[in-house]
Amino acid sequence: MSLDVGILSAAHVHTDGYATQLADRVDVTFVGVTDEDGERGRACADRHGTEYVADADALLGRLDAAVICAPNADHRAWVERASAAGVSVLCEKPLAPTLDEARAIVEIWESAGTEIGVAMPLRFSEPARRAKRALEDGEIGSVRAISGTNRGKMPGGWFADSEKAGGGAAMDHTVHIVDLVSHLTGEAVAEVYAELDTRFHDIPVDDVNVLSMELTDGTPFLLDGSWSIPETWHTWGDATVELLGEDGTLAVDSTDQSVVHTVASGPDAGVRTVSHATNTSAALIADFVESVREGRDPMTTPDEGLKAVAVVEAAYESAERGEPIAVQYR
Amino acid sequence: MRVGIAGAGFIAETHLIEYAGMDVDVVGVASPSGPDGVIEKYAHDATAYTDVATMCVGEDLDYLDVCTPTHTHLDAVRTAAGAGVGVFLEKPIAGSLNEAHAIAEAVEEGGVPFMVGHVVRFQPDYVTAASLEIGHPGVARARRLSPFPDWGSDDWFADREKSGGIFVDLAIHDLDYLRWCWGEVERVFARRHREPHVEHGFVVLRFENGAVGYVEASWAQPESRPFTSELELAGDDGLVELSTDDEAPYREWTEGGATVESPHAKGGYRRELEHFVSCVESGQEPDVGVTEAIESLRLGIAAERSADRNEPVTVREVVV
Repeated sequence: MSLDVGILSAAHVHTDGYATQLADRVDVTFVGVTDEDGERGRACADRHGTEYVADADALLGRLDAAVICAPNADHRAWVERASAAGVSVLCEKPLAPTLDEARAIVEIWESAGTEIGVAMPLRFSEPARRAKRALEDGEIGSVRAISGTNRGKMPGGWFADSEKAGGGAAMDHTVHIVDLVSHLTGEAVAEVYAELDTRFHDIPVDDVNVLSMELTDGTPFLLDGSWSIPETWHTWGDATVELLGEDGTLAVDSTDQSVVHTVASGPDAGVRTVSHATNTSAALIADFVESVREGRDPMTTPDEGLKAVAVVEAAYESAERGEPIAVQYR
Repeated sequence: MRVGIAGAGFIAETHLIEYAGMDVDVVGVASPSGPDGVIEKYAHDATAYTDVATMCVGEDLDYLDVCTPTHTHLDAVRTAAGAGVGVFLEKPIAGSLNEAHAIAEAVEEGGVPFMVGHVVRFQPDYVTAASLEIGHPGVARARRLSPFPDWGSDDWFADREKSGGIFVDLAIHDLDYLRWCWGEVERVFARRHREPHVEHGFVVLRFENGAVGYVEASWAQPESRPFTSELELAGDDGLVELSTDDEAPYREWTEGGATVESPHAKGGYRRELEHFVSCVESGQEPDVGVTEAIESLRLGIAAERSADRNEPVTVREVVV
């Protein structure tokens, strides 16, 4: 039986990646796209051969499940609306721009009869999955220190609008690696010291995001999630994590499976790299679709999404107060 | 140019290999455990001493190259400078600011040429990186990853009283380099993991110019991982990246294993020693004198202190 799936807002840069999966899957009917911005929604629907539905409630009435690609500040409202309509959702990260909103989503999830997941594609990255197996098999022993990066180009648009995004690079580029590290280690971030600033772009939000953290078991964990990558770089950015263990070190670079492509002329002239990695969007959407069909939790649940939001909130507080901050999860 | 070497360990060997290609005479090597091994290997014309003072007096040295453990630096510098002999001193200048200031005093009183071997400032890759345009500085990333140094005599690296710890001994390479590139640092925040013969640290920096940086230093890598250093300088108009891990200009595979080398006609060690020799000859001030070396040590100590206290440390408040 085919699952009826739609997209709620096409605001996020990942929308096309998910839409491609929905359109490609034989077990999914890609019913349509709704968007508060009609032009953007219609263009997205056209690109993927589906219908633009201006009335969100009308679309929700036709869906089993949906992917929320809205700006962070709208996540909670979309989760509420979809859940009220009995529609399962996969919500783009971060779960919400504030801990209060994240808690509200967790409460909806706890009482909802639908599935709610958070889009954390790195958990599906094959090099990261290999790392998880290595850790589980004790290949490097217990973990002593962790170093990660998730740098990117400045995405612009609503990502740099604190009303819609809730912050800048710290809001956008902290949660992927924080979530991956807690997925890999089973530990949460206990404390954050943050150096945040705006130094790369003329924007009203932070683009420098350097976090010195400590996990609940005392492991130090450094993360650079700055928007420090120039527009002209060979790819969108990076996502790496290196774990030092008592019996070895393992390093994951989810962007290092790539082919170098040099374009000789035209608007794309230059050197770029093209990924040949196992498609994490495909795996993420597959897991979500299967979870809805099987009535089980998706890979990343709202309570886990909340943890990453709590780290972001602590990072902003640390930057403001100039001292390490204990992360509050409750 | 008559050069004496204090020490017969890893750094002494490294310098002796460079001196062999330079226009200097290594006339003596002093080591309490006896320097015969390195003399036989690298400096056939040198006289062996077990004591630096005797060598300084007996050999009419132009300078003493101090390659001994950090906690012995002050004595060696006092001995040389007191005898009117110049000093090339391996980094860090000392393990504490008190000792560093005493070194400064001895050098001042002796009126002798003096330089600290912050070799990264002379490495072709790091020098090239520093020369490239990136606009206004944004975020600096520097990593230096190695197994625990097992080459120290009497395992002195394992004694933090002697080595100063990972920020003072290892991260100081990058702390000094980043200071050189982006200027003074206002505050640091550091964390580390420490066990006997294991140390791994992170230090986050806020420069006085507003830029942010971080240094990751490891003495905890498996022996199978080649020494790795990485650098990124990100600015508002460009990005510079280098990694020893990515470079493979010369590779060799044999049944015994694989090697990767990055050969240069003159690498960092040769360039720093040649710079000092030319300063001794010309009377010019060396690029990394007492003041520079003390400021870099101050950063390392600020990081050690931040890790001890779990709080950010303002660098200019670190005075002892």
